[in-house]
Amino acid sequence: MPSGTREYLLKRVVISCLMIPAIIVFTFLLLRLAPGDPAVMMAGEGATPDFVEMIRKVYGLDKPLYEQLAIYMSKLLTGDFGYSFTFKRPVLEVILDRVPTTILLAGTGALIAIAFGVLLGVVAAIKKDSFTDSAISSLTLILYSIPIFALAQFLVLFLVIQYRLFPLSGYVSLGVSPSDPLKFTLDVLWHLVLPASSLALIQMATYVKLTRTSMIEALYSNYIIAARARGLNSRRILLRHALKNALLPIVTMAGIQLGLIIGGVVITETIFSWPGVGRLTIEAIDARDFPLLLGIFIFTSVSVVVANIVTDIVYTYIDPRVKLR
Amino acid sequence: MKTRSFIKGFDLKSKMKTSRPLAISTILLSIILFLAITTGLLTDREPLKTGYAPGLTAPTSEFPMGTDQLGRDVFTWTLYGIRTALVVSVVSTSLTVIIAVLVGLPAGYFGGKLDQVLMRITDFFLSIPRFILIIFAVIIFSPTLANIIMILSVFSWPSLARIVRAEVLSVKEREYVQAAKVIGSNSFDIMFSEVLPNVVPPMLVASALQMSDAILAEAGLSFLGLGDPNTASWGRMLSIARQAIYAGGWWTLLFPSVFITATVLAINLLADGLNDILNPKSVR
Amino acid sequence: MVDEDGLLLEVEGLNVTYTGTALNVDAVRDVSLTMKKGECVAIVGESGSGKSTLAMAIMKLLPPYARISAKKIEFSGLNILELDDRRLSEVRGKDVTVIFQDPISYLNPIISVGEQIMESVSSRNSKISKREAYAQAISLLEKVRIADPERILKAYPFQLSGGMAQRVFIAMAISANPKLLIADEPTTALDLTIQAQILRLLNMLRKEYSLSIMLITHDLGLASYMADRVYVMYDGQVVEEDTAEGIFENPIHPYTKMLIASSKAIYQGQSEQLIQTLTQKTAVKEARDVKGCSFMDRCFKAMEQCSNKPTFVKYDGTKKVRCWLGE
Repeated sequence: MPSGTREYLLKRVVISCLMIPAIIVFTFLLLRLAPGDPAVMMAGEGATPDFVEMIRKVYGLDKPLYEQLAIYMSKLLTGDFGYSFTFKRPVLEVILDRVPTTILLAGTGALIAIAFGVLLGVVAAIKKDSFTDSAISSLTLILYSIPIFALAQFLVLFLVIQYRLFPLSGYVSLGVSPSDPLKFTLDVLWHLVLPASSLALIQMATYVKLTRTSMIEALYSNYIIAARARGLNSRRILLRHALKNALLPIVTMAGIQLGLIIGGVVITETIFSWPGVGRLTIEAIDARDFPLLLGIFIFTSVSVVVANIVTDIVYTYIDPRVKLR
Repeated sequence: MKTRSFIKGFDLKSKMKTSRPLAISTILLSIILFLAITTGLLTDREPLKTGYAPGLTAPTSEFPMGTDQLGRDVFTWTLYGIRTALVVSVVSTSLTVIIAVLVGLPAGYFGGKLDQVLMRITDFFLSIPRFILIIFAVIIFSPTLANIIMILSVFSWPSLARIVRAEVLSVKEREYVQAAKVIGSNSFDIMFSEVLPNVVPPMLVASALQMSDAILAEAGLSFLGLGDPNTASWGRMLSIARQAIYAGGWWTLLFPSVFITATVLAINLLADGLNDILNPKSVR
Repeated sequence: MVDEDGLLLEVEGLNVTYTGTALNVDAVRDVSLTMKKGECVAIVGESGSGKSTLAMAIMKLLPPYARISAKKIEFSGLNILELDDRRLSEVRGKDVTVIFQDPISYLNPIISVGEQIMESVSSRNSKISKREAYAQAISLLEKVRIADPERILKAYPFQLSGGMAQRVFIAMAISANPKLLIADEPTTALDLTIQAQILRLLNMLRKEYSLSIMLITHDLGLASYMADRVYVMYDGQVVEEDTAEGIFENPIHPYTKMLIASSKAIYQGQSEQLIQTLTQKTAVKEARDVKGCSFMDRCFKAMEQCSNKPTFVKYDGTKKVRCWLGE
């Protein structure tokens, strides 16, 4: 990688890394802005007065603000995100427990969304202004407008209640365990279908739109005309040329979507009782478990920042114009 | 001057004909607005009051959209929900626009340190997951409608401010701005009378999308139980629907879903239509 | 296969209309032209005259919203009008090739130059191995006088200079020994010194491969340097057609005269004002229902007669002209 790109990447990574302490400071300040005693909030509403006092001491809540911040930051750096009184375990542990299931759900949803979104977008672009194109665009418009909690419930109404095709909740049925790997996998997959589809359908709209636009731009661009003039007119060849260019914005969009889809994940996990970080958030809210909530917030924010850095790096590798400048 | 003629020479009828999304959107929005205004005439029940019926009842002539498990009238709630949605979206978007302009305009126009600082702030807000932040803030500051509206505005202005700033940067170099500078107008005059009117049209599309975003955000919060318990929000009805559909109460799911989708759709079409008018060269 | 007259290309009565949502634009109206083997024909006109559209229409390379109709388009005995895209693609890139203005934008920006050249090479001969294709690519680049072909093959289009990119294009264009090269403003986007190099290259290749060249340009100097025959276009129609000498030494149509005068003025460094007067444009009329000669508004020799449309008639042995002055 030539020095120009290396510099550029380094700059991006450094700035993104600076975001992380900024996030922590921001959260910290936000919490302090709230009415009420921060010690009570951090200890949790069900805590005993002794526990509250202990929290006050441990986090130095009677000390000046910057000292509090320093204490908090240093704790975070050692992996101490606090203690969740609802789960009676350290917050980080509780969160990490749920991360794999969320990644399974969100990852599957995103992959399906991208696969189908790009496919439909390409079809719509090739058959521009035809009936197929209008049909796809109309469908996209509706998917873009319908809230995920409505869509998911329609799926439940038809596929769980009306026609008992899929299970409603959880990620695995009772009595099925990893000791039987095949059965376990199939069972989990069966549970995964509806929640992942809900996420996928909502995200798909964005990918269809983007793919269609960037594919059309590519198909009408000069290099396609020149390729046809050289006698390369096979659909396949032209599509390859156009598609390669059209996919670049998709990668960028995928990175952006990572941050945007979190709300959808929270809602989907709630509707389908999927045991992930999203549902954990709601459980934390219901129990007023502030340390847990705080930990989730910081954890997800940092994850999104890291994910964006990764996307940036990936992008610099695939676009030669960035790679070689 | 370019800006004045844009507004003066605006022929609504012909614009309608060229953009189908705009036409559909106008029709839909008119219907929705009409329903919002005449809600009081269409029903004399209260949206959140329980006990109009003993329990879950299917749609009848007395209850055109049925009732939920606690006997609340779905029809009334759905109609009042329009008002909630419109209030939330209009007010929070207006606040967002004001903040975005107040921040983006000087940032783009003056540049320098001010611009750097503002860019870092917007970068920050854009890199953190918005929804969790909103949830967090709502919990901290107690879920009243006013709070929710303010929280939505506070976390939405950064992306709009970016757009404003970008537009200002491009408008800044145009002849009429340079001309005004030469004449000796002071900066604030230039900013508001020359630059701002030209920044507004591109911002309209983003603002419209902001509105539909706000509706979905508020509904999402209400669905999760984080909304204002005293307002008739479609989101909350859809959370009630979660239980109701098991007992066969499909109407609690269908009607609010149709309404919220239609409203968001109408606003998105408005954004599309505005885009057609303002950027006629863009790929359709 | 060449037909009895020895004509390589015969176009008769070509019309091209761009269809749009608001209005249709007639870009090319009733144009006829011919080319013999080994000839260089220049199509000269200002932007908007339809010359590029004409060139692309011959090989049906226009976007789908362009409607082409003609009495005849025949290339090397083939009836182009009847050929479908698949058959046409066997002609394109082999017997007829095109080079464009601003060559960098006509190459795929995210694929290396070498890959694109090799793709062209292997599309004609699917059995060819990668190594052979690479070797052919190298020799092609050498033919167009590129000094360091390996480096160029590895490069991406944005890394090339305009002149280098045009050489690459020419290399691809001659790779299958074409009969006709269509050059659409090949040097407009390039520096003057590079322009000269590219022109010399084209002339050299023309001799070496007995290539026919259709040169589209607004630059009369270019046309006079390279062309055997010239078609002058204005507003979608051919207004004068003659040998190069005939055009430059005895122009009849006022527009031709104006073009010559203004380019002389430029080359002789004459006043801005003179050039302005000669090239003054009036607003383009969108509605093509202009009664009479379409050049009337800008014509310094306009007469009453001009409110009737003149027809395209023979003036003498080689010249045809569309003007009342020519009758």
